[in-house]
Amino acid sequence: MTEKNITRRVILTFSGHAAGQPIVNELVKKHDLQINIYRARITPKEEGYLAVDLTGSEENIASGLAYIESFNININETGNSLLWDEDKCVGCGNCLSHCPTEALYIAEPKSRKVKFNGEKCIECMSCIRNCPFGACSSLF
Amino acid sequence: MKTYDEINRKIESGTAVVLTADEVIDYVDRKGLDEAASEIDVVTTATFGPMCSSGCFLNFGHSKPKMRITEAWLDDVSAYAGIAAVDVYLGATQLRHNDPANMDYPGEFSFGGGHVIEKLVAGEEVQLFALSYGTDEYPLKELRTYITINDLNQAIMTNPRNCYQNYNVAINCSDKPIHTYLGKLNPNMKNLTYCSAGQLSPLLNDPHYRTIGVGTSVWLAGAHGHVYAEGTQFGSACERGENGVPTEGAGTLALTGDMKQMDPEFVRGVSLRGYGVSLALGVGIPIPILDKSILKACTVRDSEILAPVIDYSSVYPERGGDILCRLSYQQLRKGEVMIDGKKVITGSMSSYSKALKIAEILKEEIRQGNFLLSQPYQMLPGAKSVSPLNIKPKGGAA
Repeated sequence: MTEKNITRRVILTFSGHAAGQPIVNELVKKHDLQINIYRARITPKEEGYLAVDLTGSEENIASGLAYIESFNININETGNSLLWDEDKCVGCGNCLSHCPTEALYIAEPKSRKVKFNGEKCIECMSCIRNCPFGACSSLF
Repeated sequence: MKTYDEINRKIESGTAVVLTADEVIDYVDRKGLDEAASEIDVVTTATFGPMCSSGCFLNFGHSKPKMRITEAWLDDVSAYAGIAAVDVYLGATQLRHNDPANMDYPGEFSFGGGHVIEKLVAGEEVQLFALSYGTDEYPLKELRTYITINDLNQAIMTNPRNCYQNYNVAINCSDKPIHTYLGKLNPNMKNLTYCSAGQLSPLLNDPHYRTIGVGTSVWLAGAHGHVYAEGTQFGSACERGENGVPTEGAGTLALTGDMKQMDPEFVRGVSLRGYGVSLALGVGIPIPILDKSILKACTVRDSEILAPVIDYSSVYPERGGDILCRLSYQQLRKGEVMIDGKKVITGSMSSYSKALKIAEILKEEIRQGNFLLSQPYQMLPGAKSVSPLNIKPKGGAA
């Protein structure tokens, strides 16, 4: 492969009629993308969502996204479906021992401010259950 | 040697030398204790964390017709109404009416007394629902209305126990996860939680209560409040290290302040899964540097403050005395520690970054002459132990 692979995190929101489509399979086979699914909920006739990392060449990601769009699926490219509210975070650090990937981390050792790195987040939701201040929430 | 009056005159004239308990450590290292003690007037200490024994007295003013409120709910959270007609006490850990608590274990506890207090301080509207039996002069039996803190005659935060001098480190030695007021503790000592501002914490910088006493002015979430009594469960007769610093809970403070002057950043409702609700508060306390030994105590470092690691799956609930080990806050803040040859991930329930911010805010207020110190009119008891509650038959021996 000559082109460099990149990874893009997207959140797909399905309307009921798109649920029957083998979209992930098509993305893998026809668009040569690697798919890493963080969260999915797809139920026939109901709205659903898929939070995924798409890895592949820029060109393949673009064609894959165009394919997805053809089903009238909403594509949110803002990143994580796990939301971290900096204003609500007091920086206690209770989340640190529950976050398995260090997506939540101490930014500077001196001030001990807590920060969130969305790229490392695998959306396990354990911070939502463990934050005493409601700083973490889910888009869904 | 300096006096409170001398220091206050310097504060009023804008010439007081003020450092935070964090800054003072290196400063004294550099200057030496003697020189630093003559230069520094005040060291600011601070803490931010859940303080369950907190709440507030509220006065609603009288409705027309009048009502002697006997039961009251603010946003469906019950407030104690067994005082005068339109006064109530709203406690931080009170659950919302119909909260399923731990019936669906672990309960979420998404809203309670602490959250109502947070909303009031943030200026948000809160629903008041009240009932009464009705009397000749107070005929109204039921009311529902909406209030903000500006509608209240008084909103006085009155906290029987804040600012624990030191605190337990909670761990779980059992083979099942447990949910505690120090968060979720995974089985087999996977993680632990500590809760102290360590070297910044007020009573760890004044371990023998030489300047912090009844009447000391404090910065309570932005309001200028004071210590009104020793805190409940005050236990100065505790184990101490060679430096005099307690190696367990020890002293506590009862604090009060006007909620109308508070900053919502430092008054935050707390939800602890499987445990309940609470209120996190920011407190800053200035320590006057009256002499060298007071300054020396303010140079205490995280590495010199030890906290006891206690098993919250069996020892804590059974009121046992076993301690797994003692760890310093320097070790605890590293993110992982070794206990019995096992790697344990550390988490905290107290915010050092907020405590640091409070120490800085208080430092600026004092430097600008906006916050004066007050000499305690009563010192905290020096050798007081905490008694347990013994369950016994009526008239039985303790």
